[in-house]
This record gives sequence, C-alpha cells and structure tokens, in this order.
Amino acid sequence: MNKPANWSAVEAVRQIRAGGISSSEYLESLLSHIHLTDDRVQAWARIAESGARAEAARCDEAAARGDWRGPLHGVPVAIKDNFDTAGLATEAGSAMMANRIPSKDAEAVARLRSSGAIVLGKTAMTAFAAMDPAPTRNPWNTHHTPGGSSSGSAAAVAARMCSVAIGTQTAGSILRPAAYCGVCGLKPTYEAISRSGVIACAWSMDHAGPIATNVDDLALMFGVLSGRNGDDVAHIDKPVVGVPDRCFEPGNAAVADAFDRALQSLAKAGVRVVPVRLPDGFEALAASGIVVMYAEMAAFHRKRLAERRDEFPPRLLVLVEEGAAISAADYINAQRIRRMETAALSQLLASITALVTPTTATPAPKGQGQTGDWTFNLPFSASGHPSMTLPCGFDGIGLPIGLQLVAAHGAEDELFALGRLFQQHSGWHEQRPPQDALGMH
Amino acid sequence: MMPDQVAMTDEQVRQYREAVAALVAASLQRLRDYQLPAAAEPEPLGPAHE
Repeated sequence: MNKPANWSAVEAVRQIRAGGISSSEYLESLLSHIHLTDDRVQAWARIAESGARAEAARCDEAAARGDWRGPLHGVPVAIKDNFDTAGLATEAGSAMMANRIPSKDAEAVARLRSSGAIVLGKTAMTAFAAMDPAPTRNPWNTHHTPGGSSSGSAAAVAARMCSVAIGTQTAGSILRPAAYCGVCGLKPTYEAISRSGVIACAWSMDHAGPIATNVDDLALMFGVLSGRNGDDVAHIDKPVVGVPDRCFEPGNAAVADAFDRALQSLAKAGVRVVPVRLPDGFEALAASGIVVMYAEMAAFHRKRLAERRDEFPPRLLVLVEEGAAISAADYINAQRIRRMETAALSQLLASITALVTPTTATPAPKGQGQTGDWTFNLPFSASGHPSMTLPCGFDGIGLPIGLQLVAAHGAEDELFALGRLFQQHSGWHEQRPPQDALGMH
Repeated sequence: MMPDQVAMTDEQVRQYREAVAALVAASLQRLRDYQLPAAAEPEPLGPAHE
C-alpha cells in the first residue's frame, strides 16, 4: 500500500472519509516521517505537534458523528512563517521578530482551518522573505539550496512531510523553490488569496499561494484559500500555449532539453504550441517590478532600519538601503510603466491559453549561501498574472527542473486544466527524492 | 539557525551591494528611457473618486 506520507491531499481526504485511516493516524505517520527526515532537510521553524494532535482528534470526533469539517478535513498543512497563526510564534525567519505570537490567524490560515485542515507547523523562510538563506536544504540533494523565500514550504512538500503547504511570492518565492524542489506551486492572480495577516515584503507585489505535489491539490488548496467555488475541472477548447521570443532562455542544456520535451508532451496532449512575441516593453515590466519591490521593502523596514540596523542580515540590509535611495518620482514612474506593460501583457495573454517557459534558468544552485534566481518569475509578480510551476524533468545529477505556465488575470482554472493535461502525459510529479538524500535507509 | 545569522564576509557584502546597485541603476535607466505617452487621461494613482 502506498505510504500515507506519499498521499496527495486529495487521496488523504478520500482515505479519511472512507474510514481507511483516521486523521490522528494520518498525522502520526507524517510526524514520524518528519522526525526521520527533518535533521537533513530543516524545513521547519517550529512544528505544532500538540496543537495538531488536538485538531486531528477533533477531526476524528467530528467524522465519527458524520460531520465533515470541509474539503481538507484532517489534512495537515505547512504554513510559511510569515502567515500569522494564532497562538503560535510567527517570526518571518528573523531574530528581530523572535517570540512574536499573534492572537489572530491570517485570513488564509483561518480559511484552511475552516476547511478542516490541521496546522502542522511553520516552515523556515528567508528573513522577511528576502535573500538571506534559510537553514533549509534541498531534499533532492542536501548540498543544494531549496530556493527561497518559501524554502521550508517547498522542501516539506518535496520531502513528503506533508501533502500541501502555503507560501508567498514577491519576486519568485513560490515558483522558484517549488521548481528547485520538484513540486508544483501556484502564484495566483494578485489579491485572489488574501494577504491579511501576512507579514509584508513589498505590498503591491506580494502574493500568497499553495505548494503541492500535483495540480489537483493546488486546485483544491486554491479553492479553499480564495473562496472561489468554481468548476475545478475546466475543459479548454483548443488550448494554445505561447513560447516567448526572448527573456526566458534556458541557462543550460539540461533545462533546454527538459523544456523541449515538456513542449512535446503538451503537443501530444493536444495543446497547440506556438511562438509568441512578448510586448516591446516587457523588459520595462521587469524593471518596474525591481524598482517597486525594493522601494516598498525600504518603506516597510524604514522604522526598523532606523532603530535596529545592526540586527539586519546582510542581504536584506543591502536591499533595503538600495531601495531607500529610490526617489518618489522614480517609484511613481515605475508604477505607471508597470500598469501600462501589464495591460500590454494582458492583451497577449488574451490571445492564448498561457505562456510557457522554464520556471528557472537552471536547477537549484549548489551551496547554502544563496537561494537562486527569480528573473523568470518576477515579471508576473509585477503584473499580477497567475503563474504555476510543474515538475518537468531532472538534470544529470538528479536536480528537478520546472515548467512555468502564465495565464490571464483570473484564469487559474485554465492553468489547472493545462497542468492536468501535462501531468497526464508526463508523470514527473510522481517522482520523489531519493531516500538516502533524506537520511532514510 | 536563523537566517539572520548567516554570515557573509565584508568582500561578499561589497560585491552583493555592487550587484544590487547595478541592477537598480539599470532598471531605473530603462524606465527613464521608456517613452511614456503624454498624460492626456488622468491616471489612477490616487484614491478613486465617486
């Protein structure tokens, strides 16, 4: 029998509802797995064992009464440590936030609890979602970064410590770690998932979104988090994906090969693959995102910087100080151009089902000293268009490679439909990290 | 170990600062070179008015 730790969230809910396993038993199997593997992976800032056990027991009592709490009944979820979690420390990966215990859940967390999900714990992240690495390691090869800033969320799902997690993205912080860790991630349309109760990075570019091992789980999580009660099995008539003419060149042969094979898989699935010309101002969209992001980070940290400069980790300090030097006129200019180029990109996206690119130029870099490159993801954080990553292969040393799909505002269902087609014709999402990488024998 | 405790050498910090400054400068220049249309229509930079 497939071990519970390997179940998707959809499968776990099915098993719990069918009486094959109780919520408590499922939780214990995940906790055992975490205790076996997290010394190597270090995905967690803190694990809420007693709270999770109490919640699982409540799920079991409810199930015994025939009272199902919601679509995630009994499913433990990993929460990135910038989402407020009532009664549990929420520290955004920074010693400057040590022992900060909110009294109220972030809205996303409240929605998860209302759906029957169990808060398993808070995952490790880069300090304030910037670029100083978390202690987390890539479950596929612990000498490599898992990416960031949602490092622990992506690693926890990849290592099968839980089936689903939530993270945030300002530049590339959901899709990049998900791709590096060989799992699926969704950065939805801007504001589709509430950021109320999430510690900000850059307000007008922050997005909350789910990480999972497969598209069905992403769709399930998105439905719960967004409150969107849509048809989650959207059929696309004559799907078309566009390969951009520039800006997304693979960084090595392995990514180029995996991307080509992914396009072939999509074609076999009946998706038309066409070259598209990005708007002339696409590079300006990316530039606007960089300026806006750093300026807003500086604004967010202004008071803290004045009072606690010596406590800032080195990369965050650089980003905030460079951002503070951006003038108001330049920030406003960036926002104007951002708006215009977002409209131009929307026009392109209206003519196809989705753009398709590699998620990152290369697989996860070696070493724990940095978290990789968000260049391929930032433009869509700036534009607010929904983007999704799916595993699409491996390089020569077994590091995962991701495929990025980008759709029109509000078109998450199209992304899910395309993603399902791809997964049906490829199967990369079923691969798991080797046991010796996780310290299991 | 908190990310705050991940150390960089002074030289690494200097190189990182240089790289970020160059990225910001290049981005700003691209935006300053961008041909914005004359603002014939009011742009929604402020709060919406009823």
